[in-house]
Parts: sequence; C-alpha cells; structure tokens
Amino acid sequence: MTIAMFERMRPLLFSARLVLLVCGSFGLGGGALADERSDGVTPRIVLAPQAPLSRGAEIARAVVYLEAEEADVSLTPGPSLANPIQLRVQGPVFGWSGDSEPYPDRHFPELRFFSNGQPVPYTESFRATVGTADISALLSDAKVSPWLIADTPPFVPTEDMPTETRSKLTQAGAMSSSGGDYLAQWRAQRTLGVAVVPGQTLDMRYRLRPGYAQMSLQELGRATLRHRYCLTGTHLQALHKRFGRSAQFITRYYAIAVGWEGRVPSSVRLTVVPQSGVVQVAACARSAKQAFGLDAAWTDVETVPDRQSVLHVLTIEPVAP
Amino acid sequence: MTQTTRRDITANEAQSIIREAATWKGTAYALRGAASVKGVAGDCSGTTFLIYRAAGFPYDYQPSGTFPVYAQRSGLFRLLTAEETAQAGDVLSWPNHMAIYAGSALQKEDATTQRTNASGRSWTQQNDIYTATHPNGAAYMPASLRYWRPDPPKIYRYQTSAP
Repeated sequence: MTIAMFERMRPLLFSARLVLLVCGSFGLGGGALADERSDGVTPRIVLAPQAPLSRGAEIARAVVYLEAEEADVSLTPGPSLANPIQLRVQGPVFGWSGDSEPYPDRHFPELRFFSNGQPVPYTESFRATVGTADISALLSDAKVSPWLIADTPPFVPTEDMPTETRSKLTQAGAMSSSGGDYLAQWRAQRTLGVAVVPGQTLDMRYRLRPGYAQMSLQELGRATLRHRYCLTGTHLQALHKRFGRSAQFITRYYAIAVGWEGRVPSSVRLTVVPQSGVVQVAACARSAKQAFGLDAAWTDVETVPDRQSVLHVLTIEPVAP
Repeated sequence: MTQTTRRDITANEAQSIIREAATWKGTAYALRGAASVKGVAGDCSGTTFLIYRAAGFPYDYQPSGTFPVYAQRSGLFRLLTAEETAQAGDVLSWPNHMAIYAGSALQKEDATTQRTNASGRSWTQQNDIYTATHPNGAAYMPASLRYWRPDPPKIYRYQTSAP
C-alpha cells in the first residue's frame, strides 16, 4: 500500500489537519490520536446564556474526589445565591478516531448529576457538522445517533432508512458508502444543561480520561510542568534519590473543570485516592506543605485551579524495570 | 574512511520481522519503552524496537516522537515516497505511535478478526498490521490499518549493509 492509496481507499477519513485545528481550539485537552502519548479529554463547564445573571452566581466551594478512573466533582454555590445558575457541561468536538484512540467516547455518555445522592434532571443536546454545515437536524430527523462516531467502524444503520433520507445524508457528506456499508463522516459535540440551585450541592460524576506520557526526570523538570502542577525541585530530587537519574516515569495528567472561566471558586479541595504504582501526586496547593517528599495520595487538600477554573493534577509512576 | 553502502531490505528478508511480531501477540500494553518484555508488557515503540532487534535489524531505541528524526539521521531507515508501495516489515510511524506493516504476510490465523460493534453488528476485519494499542487497551495484536486511525502514517523501510 502507498500513502496515496491509503488516502484514496478511506472515505471515512477526516482531515488530520482539521482534527488538530479543532482539538487545538478546545481549551481543555481536546487532543486526539494518541497511543504512546495522549492529551486526555475532559468535560468543561460554561455559563449558559441567562439574563440577568443571578446575584451571588458563583461556586463558593468545589470538592474534587479522584479514585481510580472516576471523578466526583461537587459544586456548592455561595450562600447569597438568589436564583439557580444555568450551566452547560460540554465535551469536545470530535469525529471518528479509530481503534488507536484510548478515549473514542468523547461525548461522556456516562456523565451524571446528583444532589444529596439523588439524580438531578438535565437537558441534553448535540451539534453535528460536516465541514461548516450543521447537520444536527438531519441526523435527528433520520433518527441516527450522532455518537456512532465513537465506534469503529462508524457504521450508520441504513437497513430500515428511507431512500430519501439516505440520499439526504449522503449528499450532505454525513456518510459515505464503503463496500455496501455506510460510514459516519461528521463531527459532533454533546452539551448537557444543568442548574446549580441555591442552597444545594451539585455533584458531577464521570469517567476520567487522563492525558499520559512516559517521561524522564529531565522531562519532568520542564518549566511548563513545573508551573502547571507546581512541581518543585524538592519533588524532583525526591524522585531522583529514590529511583535514580535514568529512571523513566509514567505521568498521567488530569484537567478537572470546577467552575467557569473568569469565576474561580474560592475554595477547591482535592482528594486523590492512592493508585497502584503511583508514587507522587502533584497539583498547586494553597499551602506549601504538599511540596515535600513523595506523596502517593492527597486527602482533602486546598488547591488552586487556573484562571479558567480548571484544576490540574499530575500523578507520577515509575516504569516497572 | 569508507562510507557504508546500504540498501532496502527485501520482502524476503523482512519476513523475519513479521514472524517475530507474531510471537509478541498477547503481550499486554504498558508504557515501558525499551524495557518492554515479550509476553509480559510493552508499548508501541518498545515492541517495534525489540522485534526489529530480534529479527536481525537493530537500531537504537526511539520513542515514536523521535523516530522520524532518528530514521533520517541514522541512515538505518528510508522514508518511502507517496508513490511507493509498503512491503511487509516496514515501520508505520505517526507522531505518537509506531506499528509494523504486514500486508498479506500475516499468518492465516492473524489475517482476519471477527468483531462486533457497539450496535451489536458483527463484521470481519481484514488485518494488515501488527501493533501495540494504548493504556488499558488490548494486548499486542494484528489489526487493520484502515480502522486504526484517520491520519495516514509515514512509512519507513530498514536499510541493511548486507551485500
């Protein structure tokens, strides 16, 4: 096979350049196509259009609990909140990414909301596009799930589809035929709408899809990592002392949305339950206490998210000899 | 000082790469790089490196991110042009991944995989590569380049100094 042949034979392929462009524009790690390294993916929180914004509309306290592959993010509004805050929780815009992708289900189908242990109602919508054309209504009318793109191959069931609908989808570029099958060609984003109610804590639970990479001690010392996770020389020296200069580490990085851009919660507390093999957890803590030695777990530590209200957490695990 | 003359390995010579790759099937995925171990755990760059070494085509270990630069500088690999045809044993290189092209040289039991989609639809996948997967993913296995990922790989062929 040649590269030219590869391009010709793949009607389901998307432009890699477009993928990178779109992922790059998604603020919370929308990177895709990763095997040995991944940027990970996480839902983000945005303020829904609402007028007027309620007095005291802010998250006063966020509690983040990370255990194994699960995240539980509890958001408590300030005591002066008068009316509910309408929020949108969004996954990234994504398309079919193939068997190589560790996180093909970027619409977070498992994400749920709770309050006092009870499910909280939410709205759900999606936007699907082919190029610049919005085909959301076309998919809805055809009763085609937009999330077929999370499967490989992204077969579109056309057996019971009216011929006219099939033609419309094909003409819109939403699907292409391949040896008698039809394959989804669109990109899509899922949006959930939920309210933070005065006096109540909203819990958001979902499966973590962390970024990961194998790194040397030298790579761990890069300025961007030091800044984002408040890694210090003490952290690195502790790793050096225990594992040696040439050790390699598996790093996993988590970006947890705890609010919306420009309104950072005044308190963000983090608990990380120990994971097998992890020797170090790093995040920006309000106190310098966490900066010393090797800590494989954090329990209810006051942390500092970035200006976009995203809490960055790094775990470090030595590569098994 | 004499300059080493190198040439493409032949399809026949490359059969040892495919035979060796087949013996890595079932090796669990773990980010281990050069410390990958057959039958235990390994990642894409580690398995490719060790398979090539065992097949008699050694090179210095490279993670997938640095492999293209190494391939060019070392002279041990040649980047195929868009018009050239891949042959079994060639390295498929993406920015974060490496795999081994096998084409139709896969052993019969590896040539196809019976799969079932999330929707419950069963289908037969025609395999043409050997690859490691990703953390929490399947073990080293034969797979289909067509369904592996959307972006096409760069294809590299080993350069031997053998006459």
